[in-house]
Amino acid sequence: MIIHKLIVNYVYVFSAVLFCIGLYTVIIKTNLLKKLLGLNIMESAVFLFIVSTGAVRNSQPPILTGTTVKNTVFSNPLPQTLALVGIISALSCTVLAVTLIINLYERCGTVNSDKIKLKETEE
Amino acid sequence: MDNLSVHFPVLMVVILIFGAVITPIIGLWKKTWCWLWSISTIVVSWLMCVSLVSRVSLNGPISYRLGGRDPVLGVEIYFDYISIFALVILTIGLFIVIFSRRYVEKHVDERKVVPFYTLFLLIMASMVGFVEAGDLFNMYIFVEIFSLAAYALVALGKDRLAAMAAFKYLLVGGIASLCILFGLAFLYSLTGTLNIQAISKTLQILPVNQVVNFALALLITGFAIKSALFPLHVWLPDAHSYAPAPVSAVLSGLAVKIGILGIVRVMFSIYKITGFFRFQFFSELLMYLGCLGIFAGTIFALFQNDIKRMFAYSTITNMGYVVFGLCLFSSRGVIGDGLVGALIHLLNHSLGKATLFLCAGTIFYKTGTVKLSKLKGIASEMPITMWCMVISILSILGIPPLAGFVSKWYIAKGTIEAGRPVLTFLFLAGSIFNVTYYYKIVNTLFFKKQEAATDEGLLELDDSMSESVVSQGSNEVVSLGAKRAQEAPLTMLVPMVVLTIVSILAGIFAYIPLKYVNLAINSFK
Repeated sequence: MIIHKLIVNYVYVFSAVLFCIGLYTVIIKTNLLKKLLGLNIMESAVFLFIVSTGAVRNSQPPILTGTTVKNTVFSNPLPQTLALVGIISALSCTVLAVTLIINLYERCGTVNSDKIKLKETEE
Repeated sequence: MDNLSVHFPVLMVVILIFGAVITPIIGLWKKTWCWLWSISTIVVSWLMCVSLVSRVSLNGPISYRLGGRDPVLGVEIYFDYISIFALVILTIGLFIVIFSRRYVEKHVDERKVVPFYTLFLLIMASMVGFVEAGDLFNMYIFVEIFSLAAYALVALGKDRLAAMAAFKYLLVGGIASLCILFGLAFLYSLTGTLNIQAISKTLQILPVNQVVNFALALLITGFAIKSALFPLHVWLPDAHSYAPAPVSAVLSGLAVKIGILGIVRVMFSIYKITGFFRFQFFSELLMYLGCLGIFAGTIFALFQNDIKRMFAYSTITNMGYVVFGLCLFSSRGVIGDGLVGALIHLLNHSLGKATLFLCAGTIFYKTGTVKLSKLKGIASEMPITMWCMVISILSILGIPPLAGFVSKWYIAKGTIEAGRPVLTFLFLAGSIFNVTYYYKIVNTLFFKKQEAATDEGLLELDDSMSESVVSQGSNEVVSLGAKRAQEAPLTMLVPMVVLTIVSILAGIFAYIPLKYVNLAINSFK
């Protein structure tokens, strides 16, 4: 019964698992760039989920053309817009993070969070 | 004019964003004008906010339809009683900008001065936008803008590890934003709308299922990270202590409150008080975390030598108070004065903590250090700054005529109303426990004798700090040696003094914020 539920709601399971993989990467890895990649994996999980909520079975892409027939079933365009806006903010977040990593590398000579922490305690 | 005033809810935010975009252009032309430009932008927005607040208190919440579309389909801006916090944000932000001029000249790289004002206006815009957002996705967008601006502002600090503090904040804040986005996606897939009122109506009908629970958990976790609730506070001490002082004041005074207001919106505007009580597990958990935060923050603060770090941990303590008050349900799901206290504490703590960080900034500006061991007896040289500091400390501790007393009184009353005497005891014990580290600060700054070694100590600062002291020219160093500091310049003194006076007045005339808080609570039911 539970397995049946999981298979039907595979989107939820998939995005939750991906989200957890990302979270694991952020927490466990010591390399700052890898941490950032973990954050990006989490972002992808959320965007996948959002886009999937707009899916409608046997639907057309929500674009009006001259040949569109009446009563066509469209998929929901709103989640796609949300995901797009989310991607923009995620991108700017990534850019800022990379800038900070470069800055840290120039100042501390390493991108390993443990080594940076060591320098922190030295001061 | 009448026509224009209809658009104030959106213009208030747009003007600040517009100001932020224009600032770099002005900076190309003349850097010193950025300061005046930021002040004038915030003042214009502030005037609009005052007009809106007066209208809301007369006629009730204002719903503004962006582009004239129906709220459920289009974007709605909803200026209700919680949104009145925008006035607090703009007022405190205005004083912090006035303060930041001299500080930024000295302690921020010259080429980073213009970005500072840009980001500052951006963070103000996003906070104001957040409190009046009428739909969940707008809330997410404003949280994201605000977080990005905050990360960048923290990274402006001159300290070598400011970038690391900012990166830590970015990682944790990024996870928080994603939790919020995930939660709102769940709510959207359940209810088919993003409008807060529409979601709330649909949720009243829906039976409780796992998705509703999960969405609530994700949203509250996200906002709890932003508000530095106790076990999720890791980003806060570093971010607050490495950032430039005006930024710490914004972060601690206002930014952390955005997280709390998010929790308030989720708990009381979306799930409603009666609905939220169905998730008793969450409210109990949050309450105990708040209670833990009160003690944990105090214990961490006790062992710090850095004033800014102490204040940062004190912020964790105070957010503990607020969350503790928010979730004080009695066993029958009735919420009493705890909620009133929590909401007023948002205002009182904003005023007090912003002033404290500005005072710490003034000390850093004048002496080049915020280490407690190097600041013995500084009070005799900077009396006005120190008196502002002491009054704010007393206010946060909750001494009667000052603002903090009102909020603590109401939270304590709330614990009794909820029928939980053990919590009353814990709350009061936590309040008294708080005195310990503030006593340490006041005792060191006021009553300890200056040692001869302190002058030597000043020269032993780490590289970046001593650079900044030396770069001020020889006369500064001489004055440090002969007489360590004088009173700060006027642009730094005035904001501190005014904020201190406001925090005294907010204690004496507490019925004014109480009126709005009660209106807000009535609208939750």
